[in-house]
Amino acid sequence: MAGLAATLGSGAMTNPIVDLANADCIFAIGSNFAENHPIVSRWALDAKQRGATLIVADPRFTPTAWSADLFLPLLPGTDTSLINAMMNVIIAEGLWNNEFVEARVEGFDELCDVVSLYPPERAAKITGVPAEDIVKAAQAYATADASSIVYCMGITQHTCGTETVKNLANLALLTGQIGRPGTGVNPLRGQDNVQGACDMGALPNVYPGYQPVADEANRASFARAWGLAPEDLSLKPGLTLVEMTHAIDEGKLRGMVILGENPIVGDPNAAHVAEAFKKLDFLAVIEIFPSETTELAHVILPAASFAEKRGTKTATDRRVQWLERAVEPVGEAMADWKIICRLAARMGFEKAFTYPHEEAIFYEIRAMTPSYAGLSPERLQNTIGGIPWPCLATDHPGTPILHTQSFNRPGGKGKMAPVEYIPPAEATSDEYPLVLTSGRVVLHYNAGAMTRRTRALQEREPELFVQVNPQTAEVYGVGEQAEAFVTTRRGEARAKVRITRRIPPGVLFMPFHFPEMNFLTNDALDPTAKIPEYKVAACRIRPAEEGDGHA
Amino acid sequence: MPKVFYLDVTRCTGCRACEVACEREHHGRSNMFVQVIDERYAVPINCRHCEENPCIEVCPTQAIHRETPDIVSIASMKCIGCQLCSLACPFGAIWFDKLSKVARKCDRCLARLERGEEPACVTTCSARALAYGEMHEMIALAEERGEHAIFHRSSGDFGTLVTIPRSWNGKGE
Repeated sequence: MAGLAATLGSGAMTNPIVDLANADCIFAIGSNFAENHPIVSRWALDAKQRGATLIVADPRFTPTAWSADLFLPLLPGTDTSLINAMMNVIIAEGLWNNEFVEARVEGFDELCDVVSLYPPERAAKITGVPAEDIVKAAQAYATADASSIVYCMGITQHTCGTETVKNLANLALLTGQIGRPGTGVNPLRGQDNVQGACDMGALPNVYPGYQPVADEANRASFARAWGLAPEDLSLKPGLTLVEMTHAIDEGKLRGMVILGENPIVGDPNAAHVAEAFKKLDFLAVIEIFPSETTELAHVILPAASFAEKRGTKTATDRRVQWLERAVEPVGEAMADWKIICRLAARMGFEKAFTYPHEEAIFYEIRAMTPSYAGLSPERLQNTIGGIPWPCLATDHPGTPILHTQSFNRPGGKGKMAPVEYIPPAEATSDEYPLVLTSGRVVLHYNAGAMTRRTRALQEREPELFVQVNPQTAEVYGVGEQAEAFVTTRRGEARAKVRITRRIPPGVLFMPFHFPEMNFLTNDALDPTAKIPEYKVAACRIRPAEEGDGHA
Repeated sequence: MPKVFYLDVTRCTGCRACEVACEREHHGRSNMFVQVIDERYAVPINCRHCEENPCIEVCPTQAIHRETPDIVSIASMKCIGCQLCSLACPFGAIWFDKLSKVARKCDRCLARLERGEEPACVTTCSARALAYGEMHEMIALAEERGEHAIFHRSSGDFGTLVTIPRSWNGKGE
């Protein structure tokens, strides 16, 4: 999100999901939406059946690539070079939108300087994508009436993630493919309400509405709203997830409350996370099921599940929707917000946490979050499909498409931020000669605490597997459906081998829904967004022998 | 009015949500499955409710019968588990339930149709690869989806319409 904020001024999908149907060209990079956001397929396929060109860039030939007109099989972590070469072609062939660039964009000359270093032939060597396909992709994207970029964690989960996002924004700004129906730069968020959680300030550096905590005026206004003295609130940004684990190691963090997360499965370098959590003086976990993380907890508080809660969710395309509960919470389970209020009361903040119901919380949200100011529980309860923010007043219809007239930056112009190729943090070596990339499968959700408990899903995708190209399988002596060990500098995991031509030689893929997978991944961070490099780790593979011990 | 089932192979992403929906509707056991072909296409397979029915012809006890003009179903009480229907079905859409020792297949969610709802697989399909309706509606839908598709239809007003990728016509890829 930091990458889009720097270039366009707001970090969210610029266009609604359904608007993909209006695109004449869709460029999907680092997104396997057919498996991970299946509903997105509906609108992408509608566009394709209307005649749109679908370009898919991914190391693997995924179900998303099945319907692609042009498939660009790039090596993990080389996205920036591909995008630079596409812009190189667009500038060399005079396909950029000069009118748009002159009227609405800064930094064109600086961009030209950098992308001139990336002719398609050079990018072909770095990315593994044939130069002529890079040229075709560039031409299709630049010349279509409306082109949309769709990206996801294949772009962001790298140490260079923020930079690559900026580069996608550069591409859209260069061609003027933004601010109109069927265009835009569209990050698909990983969970159903992760956009909402970010909007609400569930980030270490901002209050709700992305208002920086380091700003004294913001601090004063939130202190007033919460009935506190300004000094009660810190001006110092907190820690991100992976930084917290490091802080435990350093003895700076002694207690944690975790809700809606299973870091022992979901975090990179997971074995190390488990070791760190064991050092905590106190760990409380608010969960709906026992998980690998609750096993380490001193206290487990029973949470209500999604169907037992009410309130708003904000979808990936900024749509705020009101959802009613389907069933009452079972047993002692309680909505997370009620648990938080009770905890706060015990910690001496009973006066600040006196919400009688979900509506009361929303009234505070709209008072403190300018982009939500025009929304109300009543309005949302009566609007099927929700309202996309920014919604500035009660008679404001919401904003399905961002940046139609100007960007949210000083002066209203978009900022091109040229980006050089940065190789992944971990290079392959003689000891670890293969590249391991991670991702999701359609049948499981995140760390699997829910889906691994669901028989219909678990039976269809029961265990950790590793995709291996036939050539790689032969070199390392692993057979179809055999057990193998995959090893990185951080750990080892046992997985069932699936041999497939849909992954290039030298690259392995494993889904992270199963406990051991993240023993392998790298916790090196993007310096801006602090997102870990889940997508690239150097590894090796060997067949599991009879009676081989478990890692 | 008789209804037809429509399957657009060019849209199926192989997510298997139809299998899971079918399972939920039919006591935990799915009557359809998604076949992935060459790691490139996926085809949901369920009973086509054909116009001419080899399964009905071979059934020695008349357990398989036309429930309505457009729905073929199995009367489990009459089924003796001989599995001739499984052999006769050209689509591999009839499976043998070893627990109850009877043949099982798609019944188009009769209970849901009676409530005025679509079959569960159609409702759940996020890619809109599946649809259900009258023949003229499904033909209109198939045509709207573009010239890149070829679609097969039967002569009557029931059965299953299929849109297949253009590359499958003739020699293939």
